[in-house]
Amino acid sequence: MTDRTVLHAVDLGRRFGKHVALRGVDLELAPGRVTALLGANGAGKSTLLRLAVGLLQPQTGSLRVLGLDSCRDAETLRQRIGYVPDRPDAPGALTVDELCRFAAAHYRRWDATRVDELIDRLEVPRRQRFRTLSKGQAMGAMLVLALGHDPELLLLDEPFGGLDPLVREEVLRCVLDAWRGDERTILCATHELELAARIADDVAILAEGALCAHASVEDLLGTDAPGDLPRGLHAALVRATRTSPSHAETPHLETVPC
Amino acid sequence: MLRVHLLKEVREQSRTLGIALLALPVLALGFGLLAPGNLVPTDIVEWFVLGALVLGLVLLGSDLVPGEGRRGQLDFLVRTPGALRASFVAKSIVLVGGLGTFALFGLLAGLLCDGLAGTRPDDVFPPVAMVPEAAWRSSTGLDDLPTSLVVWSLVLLVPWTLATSCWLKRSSSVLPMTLALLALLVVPHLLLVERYPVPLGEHLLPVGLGLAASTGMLSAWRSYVPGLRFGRSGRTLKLGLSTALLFAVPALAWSAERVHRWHHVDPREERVSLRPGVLAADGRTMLLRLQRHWENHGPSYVARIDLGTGEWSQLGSAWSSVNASGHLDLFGPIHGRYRPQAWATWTQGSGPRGRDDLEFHALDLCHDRVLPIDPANPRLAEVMADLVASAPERPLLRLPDGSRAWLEPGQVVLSTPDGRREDIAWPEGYRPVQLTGFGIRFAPLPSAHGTDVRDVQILDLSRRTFLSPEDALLFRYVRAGDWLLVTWGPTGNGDGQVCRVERVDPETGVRTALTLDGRERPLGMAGDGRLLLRDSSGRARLFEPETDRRELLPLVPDLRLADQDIPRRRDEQSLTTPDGREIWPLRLADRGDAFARRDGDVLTVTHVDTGGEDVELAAIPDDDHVLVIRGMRRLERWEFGSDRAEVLFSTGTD
Amino acid sequence: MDDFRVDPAAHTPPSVQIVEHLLDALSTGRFAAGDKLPSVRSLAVDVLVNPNTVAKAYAELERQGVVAGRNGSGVYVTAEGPDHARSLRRASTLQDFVRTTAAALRAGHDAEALRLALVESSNQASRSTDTHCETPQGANHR
Repeated sequence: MTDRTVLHAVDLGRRFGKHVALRGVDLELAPGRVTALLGANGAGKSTLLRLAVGLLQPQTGSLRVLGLDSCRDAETLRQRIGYVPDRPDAPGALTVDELCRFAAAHYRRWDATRVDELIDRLEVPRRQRFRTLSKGQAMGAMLVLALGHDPELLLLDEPFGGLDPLVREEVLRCVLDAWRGDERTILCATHELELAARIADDVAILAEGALCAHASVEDLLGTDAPGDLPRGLHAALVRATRTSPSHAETPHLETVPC
Repeated sequence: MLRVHLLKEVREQSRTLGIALLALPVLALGFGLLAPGNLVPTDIVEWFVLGALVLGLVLLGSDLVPGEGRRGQLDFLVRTPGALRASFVAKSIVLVGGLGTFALFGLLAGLLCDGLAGTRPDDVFPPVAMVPEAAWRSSTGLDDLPTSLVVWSLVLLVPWTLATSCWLKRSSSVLPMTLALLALLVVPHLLLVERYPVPLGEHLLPVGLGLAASTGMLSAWRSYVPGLRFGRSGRTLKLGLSTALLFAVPALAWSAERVHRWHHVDPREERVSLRPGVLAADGRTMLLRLQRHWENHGPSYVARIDLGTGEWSQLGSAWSSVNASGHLDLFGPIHGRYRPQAWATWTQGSGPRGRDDLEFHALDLCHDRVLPIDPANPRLAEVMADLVASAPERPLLRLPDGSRAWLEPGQVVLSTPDGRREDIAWPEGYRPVQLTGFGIRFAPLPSAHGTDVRDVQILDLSRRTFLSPEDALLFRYVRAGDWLLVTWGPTGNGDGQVCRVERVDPETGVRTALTLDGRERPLGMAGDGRLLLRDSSGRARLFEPETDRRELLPLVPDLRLADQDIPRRRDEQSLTTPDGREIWPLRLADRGDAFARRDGDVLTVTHVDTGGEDVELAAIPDDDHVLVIRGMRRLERWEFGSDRAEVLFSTGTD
Repeated sequence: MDDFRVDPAAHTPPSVQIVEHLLDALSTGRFAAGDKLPSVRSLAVDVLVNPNTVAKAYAELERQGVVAGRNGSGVYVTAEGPDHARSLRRASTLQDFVRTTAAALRAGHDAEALRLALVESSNQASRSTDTHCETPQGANHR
């Protein structure tokens, strides 16, 4: 781990009751990289993101984000992290403008000008209550709320799920636009390989709570098959799932390199 | 920051508020118009306010936190930096404000309903009662129901509702959970105080409730701000409950400790004084009353003391009293030696309708058994019969002609030397209270209206008649055939002492003053009817009013009587040793209080130097000793003719 | 810019697609020598691909000497850039042409028909080259 490692998980594990959501995850994210977190539903993608934003406590291992402890320093950390959950969860009774005022009151680095730009760009209606927004508008608003304070780490949990193609493209543009070179790192959980292939520098693959692969797209697919990234990713995913500890008896199986 | 949170809360609750506040006037209109006037209770306004508050708690209070989860926006609050803190404050404000609004609308609806029903519109629930300040106006808190009830339930329910609502997913279980929790927190205290009555300090109740309320707020804060940091989880409950316990356990311990301390006395405490009790028949144990000074009005306790070892144990609980003679003088004089004894315990204000709860116990000190005296206990009758049977051997009074007199329930019994027995019934509605020479003074039984202390009947035992002169209170002694009226004490203008001895003719009421030397003081009446005097040179003399003769009664050793009042005494009668010799309380010059035994023609004196300390006679254990309580702290044994003081028991740390 | 988007499912890797696209744009004259190329981020947003991929494409172009970064202010077309781009495109498109022609002959086209088609395309290209404003038809489409 270098000083600039954005996210550093060591033997990270978390279970919910009997269900093991994450087991023995060792993951390092370098600054400025866009990492697609791939995996089937229930593979532990959301859990990893929620751990990173301090909404969950790790049960085993440790997790440091931006050099800070994900739990103990959560309050400080959240000033520097943007997080978009898989389901829009902003208070539904407030309008988008009010939500922005709400967020502005809590984030020290809130940039109202930039936020206005984003809102216009995503065509989010400002004076409409959040709960009456369409899915795409709501996702746009969540993205605005996650980006308004210029976060160093952007965590996206299935940001494209259930969006129609046009909205999806706008959201995608926003995500790409959010890139700031080394200043911002993006971790995006998705199961859509075409989008992952577009945005990702690196790919991390989770299967049944274990991290099966973490490599740049090129390294993962190999130089021999440069074309058709989605299909390459799919093949990698299938390989990962096969070698995953699907029938493992022990919860802490070593990470299987793909 | 708070403003955006308030906006959010108000937005979210506006529908609830709107519907409820609309429903209240509609309900009032319906009830007021449709219900017959006599069905509308006079306190309908209070009911509306209370109902509105309950509605507010159910609709608003119990949904503030679970609503966040239901709307799926809890995570948003959790992950927005600082949002939990601000939203807690906002929620508290909205809850208090919302309940205030509910109460106000309840009040308006109640007034509307009351006005429509045409009943007592003047009986208006004071709106000011809705303001929490009203709580502090009444010092004890729960005096004027239901105003303070409303206020206190708000003060308690608001924080605890917030706390429990953090723990529960369903808002419908919040109110029952809150009530159950409050019951758990408060009921043990109530049970303790109910079971073992302890006087609560004037401000204890508001302070306790205030403490419970602020702990509730703390618990709510801990449940919400750090507790919801990872969403609703076991951690939320753990933090909230541990805070509640943090309050509950010490508070309960404090309560229990206070109750225990109240009901258990330790003689080594600084502020415990000793009062006389009764001596066991074998002379080895004694029951003493321990008076504790507790916030200006302490309870008394009964302790059994082993006179040989000084060991002690407590009998009964607070407000116990040992009172062998006090129970209508049935069991003989207070100072003296007793057979199987009885004592009474009473517990202040715990009986029906707040009256004192009296409980009697009989104690067989020789067999070390305690028997509760209740009418159904056959042993009670035995003890009573035993006491009555032993009365002739230990008569209350021996008359100069050799007759003996004693008390039995409802009658005075006279037994002449030739064995004749004469029963004189007590005057109806009176009880014997004091011996006055050869007479018995009767006072009216206590009644709810109080008694007139001047209302006195005196039984003249030599004439077997009841006398009721106007100034009967002033009579000190009655002796065979005539009365001696002895008056002494400081004069009204403070320049000396007045002392007067008069003879009164019972037939005509004519009084004849007897001449006393200016510095002579009467000390009491001897068994032969003569007055014991202190003469001007501090010697004791026996004075016969008939002949005006004064006979010297030398003190052994040769000491002088103080030129002061005689020591404090329980009653005016002479005391006797077990073998029948008279004992006199005296005050010696330079030595303080003392006791003298009349041995034929001399007085054998105890001459311990008391250094001005108060001395009270506790018992006469045998023919050669008296037990005294000195300075209300030490039980001592004094010997006649000696200056030795043996400390048997003492209170305090010294 | 136009409607060009990187196709991640294509056989060519995204960065190569961007390089080809930009070489095309240079060779048709849409960027003249000394012009500034769009910023990495804005091009990434336009073509919907990770900006690092665009940066990689820019680096490749710079390696080929077509463009050059001027410290911090952006990436500019070098003086020899357009010519260089055209020659690069010529080399790679000729290979494509030969390969495609072979495939067409195998498919049963006769050589004369292919020649006519070539003449026709050539006439169209020379018309549009005269105006210097349009992208040659089909240059971007596969």
